[in-house]
Amino acid sequence: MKKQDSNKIDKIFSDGLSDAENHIAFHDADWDAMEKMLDERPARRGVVRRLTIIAGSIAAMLILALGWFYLGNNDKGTKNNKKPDLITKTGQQQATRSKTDDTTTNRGVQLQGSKGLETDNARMKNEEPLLAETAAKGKSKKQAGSNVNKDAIYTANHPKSKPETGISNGDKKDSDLIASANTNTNTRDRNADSNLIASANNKVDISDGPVKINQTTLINDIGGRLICLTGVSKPRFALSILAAPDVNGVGSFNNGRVGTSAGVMLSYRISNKWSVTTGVSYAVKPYAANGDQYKRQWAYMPATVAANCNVLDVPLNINYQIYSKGKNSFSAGTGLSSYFMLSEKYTYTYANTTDVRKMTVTNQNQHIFGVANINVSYQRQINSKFNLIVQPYLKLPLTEIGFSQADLKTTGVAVGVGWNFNTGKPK
Amino acid sequence: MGEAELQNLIAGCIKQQRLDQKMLYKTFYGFAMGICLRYAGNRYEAAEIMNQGFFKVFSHLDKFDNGKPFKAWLGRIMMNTSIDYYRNNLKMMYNDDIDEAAEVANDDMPDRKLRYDDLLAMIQQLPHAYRTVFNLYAIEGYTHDEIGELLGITSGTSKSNLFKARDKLKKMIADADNLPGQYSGTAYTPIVAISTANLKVTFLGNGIIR
Repeated sequence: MKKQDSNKIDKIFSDGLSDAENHIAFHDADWDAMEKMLDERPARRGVVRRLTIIAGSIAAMLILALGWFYLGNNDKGTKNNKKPDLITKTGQQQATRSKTDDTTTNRGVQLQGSKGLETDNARMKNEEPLLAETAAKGKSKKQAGSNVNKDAIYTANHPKSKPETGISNGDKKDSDLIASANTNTNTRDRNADSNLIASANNKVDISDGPVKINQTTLINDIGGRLICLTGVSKPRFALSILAAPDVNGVGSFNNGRVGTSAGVMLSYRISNKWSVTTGVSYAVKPYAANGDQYKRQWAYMPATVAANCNVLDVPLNINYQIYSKGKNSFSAGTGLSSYFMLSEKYTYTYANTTDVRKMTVTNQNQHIFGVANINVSYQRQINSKFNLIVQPYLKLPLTEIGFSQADLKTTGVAVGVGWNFNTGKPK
Repeated sequence: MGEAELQNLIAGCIKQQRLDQKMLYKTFYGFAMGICLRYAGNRYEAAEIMNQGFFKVFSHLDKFDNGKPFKAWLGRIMMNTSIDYYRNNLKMMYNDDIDEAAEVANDDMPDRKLRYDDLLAMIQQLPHAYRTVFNLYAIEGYTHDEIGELLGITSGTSKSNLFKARDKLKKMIADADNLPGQYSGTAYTPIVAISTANLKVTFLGNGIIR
């Protein structure tokens, strides 16, 4: 605190305004508004609780989705391999045997993809139907993750081979490359391997050393028989730029006002049907309604409140592909958005006065997962990398939005372009 | 209100007893509103700020130290709520640099006593930034450094805003005689302007109809 100086103007106002109590009469309307605020207090706790439950539900959904994703991958491996456990064990046992018995091990097969995958063991046993089994395991997932398109799991079964022969199943999710070739011949030589691999019509380098395969995505038929191929990579990540005109309304869209939204979204495909999307979009949301349509308790209820808000919308959605044929596909999505209210400009009008009050609130309100998203997307493939997107959407508030505590709903149609930026190269 | 009675009232408010809350509200209504009216642009804003302030009071009354004067505590909450309101409206502020404003000479100011309502009306006409700084400096007694810290501005800006405020108030005081008598900072429906053309039409219309 300072020492009071002797400025006359300061003194006039300091003295003149000091006995305010004697000039101000009590107004019941103010207490009524106060009472409403006090009554509203428990409800606010309810909102916090509700938001906590929603956040927890989202976390649970994500965990389930991720769990399903991993399980789904393991299931795929099982489909490709009728007896994965048995074969894996067999492979391991043989590997052990090959170490102890030098005569049974003939050669190794080396598969050279971009990951530098190589075969660990290649073994043949003359007295057993299973003559050759090659298992190649990739290196770390981190390495594989950088180039998912070149991952492949392929199994080639010789016509006369027994069904129990197959491949050992590793973690095939982008990282492991497992090749297994089975034949019923009692001799296993390089030609057998070379035929097998050559028939796959890939670059094969046959030499005295390990057989090298320079391309890892293999689809082929050997002797008109089964070729089982999995892991033909589809793009996992997609970036999209969307822009939308939309309608914003408080409570309903009866008095809706047109706003705009534009943003960048990133999608991650967790399976053929499911994907998650997040991103950020900047939205201009004008809306207007009567004062009593807002949850905020004003000391003096305005007749109308018009708003123009600039909002950062950060969604987290999960999408399911309902239909896909040719170049067209339809998806449905749902999730939650977080609104970061960058600025909120309000204009209040009152019933018994021409006085118009204006107010601006900046960076005060954030609604983490405060808005539910529902959308349907139509995508049309332009080429392997790009597609057109048309996405009608609806945003429903789970909490009161902004300083005025509005039940702010938004609906619109976003149009944009998607880019699959790690597209595979399926043959 | 005696100290014991106030303590009982506070105890009742802590227990969320509505009658005690209303009594406390009514008791300090004039004091609280007096502060908020100085910081707000009109009565609507003042009432809203005051209720937000009282809401804080009722929410944190259990933390109030009974050994300290309640009125000062309440006043500080009202002031802080007013400053919060100011911060929320920063985009509308005038934050001039010190170079743009100079100290107003007030030697020629006559000694005079103006009515509370007139003074309030004048202070409410100031831009929000000037009003806030003037309140904090001239009435609350803060230094420019303290004001700068409170409002997130430099002490130079605080000085500039104070000088600008004084300049505007000085002009208003000089024109005080021209202020309409019924103009009041506490009025519900201040008449901004009356068109004489409309008055004539109304008058003529009434004459014809009657």
